[in-house]
Amino acid sequence: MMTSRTVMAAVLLAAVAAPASAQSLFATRGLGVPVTSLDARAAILGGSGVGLIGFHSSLANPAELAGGFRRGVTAALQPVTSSIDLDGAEDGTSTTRFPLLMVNYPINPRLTAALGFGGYLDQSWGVIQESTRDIGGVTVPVTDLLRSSGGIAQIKLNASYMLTPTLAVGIGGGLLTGNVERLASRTFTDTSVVLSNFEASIRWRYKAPVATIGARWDVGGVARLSAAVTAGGDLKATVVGDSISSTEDRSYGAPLQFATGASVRLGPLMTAAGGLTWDRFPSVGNGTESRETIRVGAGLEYEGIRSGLRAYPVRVGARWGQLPYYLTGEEPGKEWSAGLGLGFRLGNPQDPAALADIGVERGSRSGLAGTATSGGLNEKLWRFTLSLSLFAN
Amino acid sequence: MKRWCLMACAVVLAGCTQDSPLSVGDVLLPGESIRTFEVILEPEQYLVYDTAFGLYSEPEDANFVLFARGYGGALTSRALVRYDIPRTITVRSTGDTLKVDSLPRYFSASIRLTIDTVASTRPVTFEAFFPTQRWDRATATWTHRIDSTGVRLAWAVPGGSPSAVRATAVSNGDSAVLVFDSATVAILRDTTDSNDGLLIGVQNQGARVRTLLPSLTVRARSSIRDTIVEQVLAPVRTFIFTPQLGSTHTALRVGGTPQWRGVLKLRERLDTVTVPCPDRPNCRVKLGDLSLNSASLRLQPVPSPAGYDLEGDIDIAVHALIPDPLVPLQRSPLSEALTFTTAAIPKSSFLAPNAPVVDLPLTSVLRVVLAGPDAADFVPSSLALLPAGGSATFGVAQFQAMPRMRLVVSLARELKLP
Repeated sequence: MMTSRTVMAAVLLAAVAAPASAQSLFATRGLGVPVTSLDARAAILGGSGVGLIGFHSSLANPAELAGGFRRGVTAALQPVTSSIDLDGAEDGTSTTRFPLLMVNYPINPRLTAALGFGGYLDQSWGVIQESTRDIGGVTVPVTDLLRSSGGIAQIKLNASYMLTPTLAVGIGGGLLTGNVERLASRTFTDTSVVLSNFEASIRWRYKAPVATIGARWDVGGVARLSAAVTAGGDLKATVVGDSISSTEDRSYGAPLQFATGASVRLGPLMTAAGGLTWDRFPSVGNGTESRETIRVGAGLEYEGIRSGLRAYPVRVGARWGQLPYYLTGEEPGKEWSAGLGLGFRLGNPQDPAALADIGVERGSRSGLAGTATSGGLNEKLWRFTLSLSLFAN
Repeated sequence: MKRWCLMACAVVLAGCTQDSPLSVGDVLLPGESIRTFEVILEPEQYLVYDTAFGLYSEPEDANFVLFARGYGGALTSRALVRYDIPRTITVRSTGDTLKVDSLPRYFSASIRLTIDTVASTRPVTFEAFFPTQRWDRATATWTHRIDSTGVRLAWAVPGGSPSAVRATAVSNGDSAVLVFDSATVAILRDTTDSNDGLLIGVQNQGARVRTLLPSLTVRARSSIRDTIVEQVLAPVRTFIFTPQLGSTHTALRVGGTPQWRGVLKLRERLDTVTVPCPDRPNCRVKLGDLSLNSASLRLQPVPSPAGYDLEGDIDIAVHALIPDPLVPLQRSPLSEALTFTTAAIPKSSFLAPNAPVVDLPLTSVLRVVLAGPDAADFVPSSLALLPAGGSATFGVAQFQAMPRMRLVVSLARELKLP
């Protein structure tokens, strides 16, 4: 068992140490693209991660922890393949992010705690451009690279308490935190021109306190209602490395989120789930608009495929959401996806011994039409979410 | 359980990859993200002063000698040579033993003048005289046979007080041989004679010839047995010329003999010098806040002094002067060469006005300077321009004083917090 714990710890450390890596050109706006910190089951069943019957991992509502009686760890991995269309110019990229890592620790049958690390806003993108520049009357070919790596993650310590067998409340607190490094480089590709290449970078760190309260109510053994509010202090950005010039630290607005969701058993083997999340992401200013966003989603789960204590759920779902950031004069962005999920569960649905889930989503993001691009930016993506939850006896 | 954990490890670690940047999307970024532009620094922006010192590598140290007569309408130069002709010779006697012969009879001698470069196309006629006065190799000049501290003796006749001509030789392409008779050799051997060595010049008006060091070949007949011994003797030499260029000059000079060193004293804290931002009125940016892509001194060649044009193309190296408060600037030690011209500067650049400007690379030097005083243990404050590779010239590369400096710099405009 000790070996297993060690390996688990290694998994966590490796994942936490590795920066979440994702790429969307929508992340060039404001503080980036929202990342939902969910496991594969919640991702397919509407994407809110709130109010799902059965075990799932999410940082949105601490009350959702109630009912678990085993220590365990959940890790989610999300490879994404995108094709990008910008005014007829196309390119594609593949990338991977880690939307969620979570450790559950039941303290007693009523009280459960969890430490989680998940995504919040992703600012990873990179653009390379070949062009020519006039330098002192000489036309010089150049290759420019602009790359942004990192984003804002959330680290939360959540706890839930079962007031009654059907009603649980939860509270959580933590930090929005993360690092972003931006790099700009110019390579002079003509070796006959004696010009050294240029590279500059800046790295900064984000920090803001956040707290969440939530509740979960099981109704008549066939439905579950859940809601949570997360609020935080102003998000502060501190420059920690600057190779070009002094850049002043910045402060942004405070995050606020209301998430609600519900699920209903349509029969002994079928569950329907849906959720809505309203977000006010930290405001940016300086020509960047920050709007309040809504994300909605719903899904169905069928659990008829079983073998002894093992179940192999099949899920379908869809979600739609608004993207928070865009420049003044641009069309705001939005995204949608529809997906299919498969799972493997060993043991009790509410308190399983092991879970392995995979979700495949096809979706797109669009928006940002304006002066820079008349047709706007369109990203089509395949998003795979793999999650694994392991529990001790 | 272990298998699941190991699988999880593998899956997590597989995700630790770096994305490839996209070839689309630059239009989404406001403005030109990276700006590269040219900055021309006027001399008063980066220089305290410039000067040139002609104090180094005197003629007696050169690996050549120079002959000229009215070259460029001005330059005349002669070589002074002295040979230590041995009192004895060693011969192989009967029985294959070596014997020292203290009474050899020198009956002839010759000097081969191997031409290195020549600034006239026709054959050159060399002529040899005795300098009729004794001279000091280290201090002899056109006007003075000794010009040392405390002793200053002029030639009776400027230019080496020549005797009557003792030998002449016409070059046959790449060399000429001056042949001397036994009487001349006897005088050369006589260290008490006032005729001190040889004085060699050229007869052709308007000629300038540079040769390798003139070795003397002497031939002696042994008094012990019937044999002839031939020996080649290296010279004690210098060359004297007129006009001389002095030891300091306001224009930048490089090369020559004595060697000129162009010196540039940089302003302190060049990183704080501000220049206009590109395309933004009422905006200035410090050089230290810009990223340097290249830096070069814009050297404008000007015609060399009459008679002092370069023998060949010249490469220039930039050294840092290592300051020492106890040592005058002109005697400051030099660093290793920091940077060089990218191509040899044609000698034709110094023959007429308005030659093309020469960009002498200074990128590595300026990178250290613009990083500020704390960025390196040694930040060059004065630079010296010398012929690259220690190559010796007689001609002088001359450049207009107070050159401009050209910088190409970059800045990242959008590298900032959202």
